[in-house]
Amino acid sequence: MKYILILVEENGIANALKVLLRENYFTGVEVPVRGFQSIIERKPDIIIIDSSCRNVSGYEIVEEILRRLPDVPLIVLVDSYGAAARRLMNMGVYDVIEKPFDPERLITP
Amino acid sequence: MNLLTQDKEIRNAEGHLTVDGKLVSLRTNGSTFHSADGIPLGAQLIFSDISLLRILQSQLERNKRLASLGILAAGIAHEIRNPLVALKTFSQLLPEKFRDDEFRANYIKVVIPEIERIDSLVEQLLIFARPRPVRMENMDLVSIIESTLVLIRTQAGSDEISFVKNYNREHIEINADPEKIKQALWNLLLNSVDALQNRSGIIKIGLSSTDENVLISIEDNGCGISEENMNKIFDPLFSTKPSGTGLGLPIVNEIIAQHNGRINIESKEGVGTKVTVILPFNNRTG
Repeated sequence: MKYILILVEENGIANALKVLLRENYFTGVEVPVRGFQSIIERKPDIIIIDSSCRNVSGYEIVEEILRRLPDVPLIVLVDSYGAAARRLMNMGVYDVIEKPFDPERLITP
Repeated sequence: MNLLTQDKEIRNAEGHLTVDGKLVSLRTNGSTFHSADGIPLGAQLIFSDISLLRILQSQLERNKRLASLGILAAGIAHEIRNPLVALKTFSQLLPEKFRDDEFRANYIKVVIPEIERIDSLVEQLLIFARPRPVRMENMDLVSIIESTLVLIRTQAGSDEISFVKNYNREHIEINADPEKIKQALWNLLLNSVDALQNRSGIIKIGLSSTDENVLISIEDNGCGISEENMNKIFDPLFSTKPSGTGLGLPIVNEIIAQHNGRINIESKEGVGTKVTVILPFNNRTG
């Protein structure tokens, strides 16, 4: 079973993702921080990150993940599609998903 | 006539006059003049119609409020969509997982707080966008602080907190809107409780006065505010609390301004925060 690391600050979103994914994946949740050694140590197969974290800039973390874990697909949750989503896709993320998402959208590969 | 007999000067006194059924705002300036040996000779009064100025001022206020609402609208997408993630996911999974005990337990734990979060956001938005007019009355500030403290002690995390009070008088009468002052104090005290993040700490509440003003200070030894965040704390929807609405301090600011008061916040990250609210004893309405 693949391991998905969920990087969010909010319990509600973390819980929703865990419930949604638990039949097909192992999941772990972390609050995103700068200089995240523990994320690398967890060796995730997929990473999902909420772009709207309050304490860190979503872009900074995204850049850091793409640089340090270039082979791990990175899915970013955004408030709305638009300039931010385009910028993220150009940065090289695997997918951008608008909140609130359809559960099928996330579990269908 | 009063002016003449009392030998006084009037500077920028404001009032209203009804002319042909219309309310006119007037500003009055006046002074007496005397002969060389000090005998009052007469008085001069100048009335200026400042109705237009007042209309422009209220339009400006309205524009400022609309600009704030614009900032609010941008933030609302984020504030409502985040709780909607959990609501949507859990609701869509409900039919197939209805018999799963763990799912049901999670459902209750997650869904209700998220609904309450949206509800409280809407409530605060309404207060912010359409505040009811202030109703000034003579009130005792000490008893308002005391009743707010009783309420704050019922909040989660406040068991471990020592509330240290330092009032310079038993009663302080001021002219203010008790409900609004209570709301402002509640928001400030709640910030202090949250800053202590469920660990034991001290919140000091001080009350002192000068001839014209009363000073309320609320000081905690909590997490403090970072330098970076310091100039954002009055922005609507800015919050560092996971479930904060970011409307607490903007509402406090609005209330203090309605009372012609001032607010001063000093903070050091990791050390604590001190908020000082300065309110005039007397508030002229209108």
